[in-house]
Amino acid sequence: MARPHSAAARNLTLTEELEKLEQSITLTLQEIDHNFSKAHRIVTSSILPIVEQYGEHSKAVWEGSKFWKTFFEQSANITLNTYSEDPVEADTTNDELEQKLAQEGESYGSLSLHGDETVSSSRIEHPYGPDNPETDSSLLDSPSVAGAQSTPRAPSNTKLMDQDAGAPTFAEYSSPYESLRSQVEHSPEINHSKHPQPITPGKNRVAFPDTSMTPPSAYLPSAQRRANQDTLLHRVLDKTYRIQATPHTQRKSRHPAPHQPAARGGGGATETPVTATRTAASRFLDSSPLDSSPSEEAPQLRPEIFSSPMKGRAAARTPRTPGVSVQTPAAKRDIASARRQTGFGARGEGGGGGERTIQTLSRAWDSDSDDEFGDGLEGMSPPKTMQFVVPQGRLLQTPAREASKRIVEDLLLTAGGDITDEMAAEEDSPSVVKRNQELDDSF
Amino acid sequence: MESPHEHQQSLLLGRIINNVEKLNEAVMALNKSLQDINVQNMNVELVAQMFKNYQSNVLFHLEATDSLKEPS
Repeated sequence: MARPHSAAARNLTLTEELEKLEQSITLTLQEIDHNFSKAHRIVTSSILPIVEQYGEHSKAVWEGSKFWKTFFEQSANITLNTYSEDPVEADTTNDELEQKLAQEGESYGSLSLHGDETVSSSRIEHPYGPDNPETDSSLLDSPSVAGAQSTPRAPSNTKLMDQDAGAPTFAEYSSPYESLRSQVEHSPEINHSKHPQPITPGKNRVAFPDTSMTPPSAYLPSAQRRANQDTLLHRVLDKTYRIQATPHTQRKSRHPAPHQPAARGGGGATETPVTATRTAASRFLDSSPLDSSPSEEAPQLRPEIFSSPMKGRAAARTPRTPGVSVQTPAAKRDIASARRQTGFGARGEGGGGGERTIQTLSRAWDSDSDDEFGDGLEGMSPPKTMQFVVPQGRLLQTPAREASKRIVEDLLLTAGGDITDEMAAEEDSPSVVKRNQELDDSF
Repeated sequence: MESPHEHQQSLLLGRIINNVEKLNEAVMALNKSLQDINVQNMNVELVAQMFKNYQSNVLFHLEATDSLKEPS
């Protein structure tokens, strides 16, 4: 500020100078405010959407590569899970930080009342709305965040990150008692990590690889501690990501009961535990390769079948035709179930010997069956689809089949629409019919 | 007696705090989404590593068996 020339003016200038200082302070504050709002606008309007797009695209990439993960997992007979490992102290410290911040938050709140004009808050908050439910990341889910509504939330998280990264940063925010406590807690944590407890490691993460990553220390602390021997994948700020390889056999022992019916399970469970359990596990897990990959294929194949020239319009009607369709449904299911296991046994570990009765039933069917399709359908869909898929190729190839189909079509046409309507559910029957004919031919 | 400047500055400070809150929330959301994306990409990375290992294994095998041929 320039000094005025005269002494009389100097008095004025003091107040003036003060005034100017005040003004400059105000201007600076305005500029700061403007800059913050601008930064906020940039983050919300340009960066976030781009990041969301990036997330979508990376999701698409994952969709594309998911098959290969399951492929490799299956080839190695393991399940790979990625999970995050959090320091345990985060929980306790969070709460206390939370309290502090909540107190601070009140003061913030009183101040913030003045600034109503700020960038439209409603507009800003909406974009996050959808994100939050989607991303269950550890930060927002943590109890600390849930408690605080307005301001305290943000600082709590940032502090969280700092804490997790290392003890010293954490000390800034908490009392010395707190730091001591964290240290005390830290040491037992390490001790825990040293003796692995065999029971849980599989349980915690096996079935849900994706979810296991997201939930923070709140749910998995103990498990994470135990699994420290796993391969380190990434270390990002506060979190350590590790890979856990779970052999499939473990899972098999756990799951077999629920899915295997007693009838066939009696033979299969004893003699071919591996195959049986695998089927069970595969239903639960996306990661199980055999199921996941074929299950994707199945839907593609169906439309082709329906559109296939030979079936045409009569395809839907053929099923209910002669007595053949009636025989099949019950027997067919058994056979289909049998086929599942036999198919698996032969392919997976050669354990098919277990179910001989079933095999005898399905012997003929196995010859027809295409392994891949059978597997794919196994996890998801009812036996119907399997049969649909399999016979088609044969039917197309052999003229006898077409002839039989035409006969069936004629029969259906003559029979009229009534039958078709009742039997709407039995679309599978046509395939069965075809098969039976096919079998007759072959034998 | 409160000077007008003081009042104005307190208002401005309130605004700034408000903006910082919002910015903080925005950055948190950004971090969160990035974190999720990173976690998701870890699986892709895993697949890439497995493929890489597979490729090196195949290469080793082919070289060991002298069956490696130049791409035609």
